[in-house]
Amino acid sequence: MKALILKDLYVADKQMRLLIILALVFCAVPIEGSLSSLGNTYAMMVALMLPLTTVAYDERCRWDKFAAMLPYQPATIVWSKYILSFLGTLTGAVIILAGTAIRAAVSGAAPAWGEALGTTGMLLVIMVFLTDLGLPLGYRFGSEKGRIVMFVALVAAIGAGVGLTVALSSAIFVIASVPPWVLVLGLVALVVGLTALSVRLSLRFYLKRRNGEYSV
Amino acid sequence: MDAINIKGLTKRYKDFSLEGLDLTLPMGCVLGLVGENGAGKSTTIRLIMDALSRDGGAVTVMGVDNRSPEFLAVKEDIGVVLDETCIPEFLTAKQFGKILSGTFKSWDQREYDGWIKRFDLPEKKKFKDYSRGMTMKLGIAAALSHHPKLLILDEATSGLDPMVREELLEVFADFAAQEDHAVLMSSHIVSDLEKTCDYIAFLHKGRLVLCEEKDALLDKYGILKCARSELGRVDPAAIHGKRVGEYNVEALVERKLVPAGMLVERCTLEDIILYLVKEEKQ
Repeated sequence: MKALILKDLYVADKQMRLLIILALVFCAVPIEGSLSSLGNTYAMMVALMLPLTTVAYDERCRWDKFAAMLPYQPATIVWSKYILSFLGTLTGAVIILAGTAIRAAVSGAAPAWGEALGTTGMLLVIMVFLTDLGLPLGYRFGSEKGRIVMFVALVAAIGAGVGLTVALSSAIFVIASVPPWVLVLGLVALVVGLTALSVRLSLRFYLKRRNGEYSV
Repeated sequence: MDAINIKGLTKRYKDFSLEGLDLTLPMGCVLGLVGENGAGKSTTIRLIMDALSRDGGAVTVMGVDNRSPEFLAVKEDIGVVLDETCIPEFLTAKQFGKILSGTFKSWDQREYDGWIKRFDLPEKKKFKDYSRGMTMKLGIAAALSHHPKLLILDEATSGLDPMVREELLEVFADFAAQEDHAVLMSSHIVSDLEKTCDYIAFLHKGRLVLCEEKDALLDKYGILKCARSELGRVDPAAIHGKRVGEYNVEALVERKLVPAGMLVERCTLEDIILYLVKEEKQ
């Protein structure tokens, strides 16, 4: 699997380096007001783009056709994209924390670690959700259509979430009374469960695509 | 032990199907898979490597069912070169070698470096700037650098100039010279197969038209050139294709079945294939 991740890192190397530098700059520059989280969001979006970008490159050069000839289980090929995404997400988190440290060093103020960690944690969870949504769609519809379907699904999910929050506004008080560790554990369980489901779907779509059941 | 053994292999698509393919490649031999574009050569190769799910039949590679978990270990001993090398365009030969060194347990970096040098491939040039010849050479260098026992080549010489083709055919012949090696080579360049192969399998529209030892095939068939009126003397079962002119006729015939006294010329593999395809169409 290491070799597959290495291949993806080589492929996306140039673009990702540029995007990472930009993300670091955005995170390091102090922005006040409603755009204050722009840098953090951008860093995580970069992390999300990494696996989908490599799926697009794989499609373009028909890498999967070659990979099928190599001694890899299909599950290893699919898992490598998830691991790559998690590595990208962790890189995004490191960029956010590094940006916080740089901002503090420049302004002379104490770093706002609590806020940075909270934001990073929340974004990490969101990114894992997005990966879990994006990769199966990428394998099913191809990277280009997959991205469009993912953003449509995302907008729909946010809309549904807002609608649900309004409809169940009384439940907010119940959630607020739950101890934080229970919430964190619940969130972790949800992330693990969703990822397991997402990998299964990705593998199924990957095999169907390899078998020529979907057009490229 | 057979390098490849295929029984009743079937794969159906909406607009094409490979039907009941039986094929055997003994160890120590080179089998040429010939057929026009879309005949099913690449599909057969992908089915052999279990890169495609089959609808029927059985495939064993070096004695192992290609659907069994053990086949993953067998893949370590197979070098594959595809018609499109499928290498990401931003990679260099050096990076590609690093990726494959993490893929094959038996990867031999010195061997790979040796091939890169022998083929005169630039190590740091990006793959997108490679010519077709360089691309195929890189694919072959990669396929040979983990000491495979079986080499599977899908149109590896197509689109190459005669000099490069000759160079690569020599590499394949050297590889096949070892007793514990075997090569399956698909191509529509029949002359390449005639130079290199021990066995020839001819696929036409997803069906195996013939699979025989090359020399036996060349001995078996011949070209009969005679007057149209004379062709009537030949048993129709001996005629496998013909070109009829105004006065004369040229026919692909089975030598043994032609009456004594009629002159049958030696034919090439290409003659056999072309006549058989023509006969199929008629």
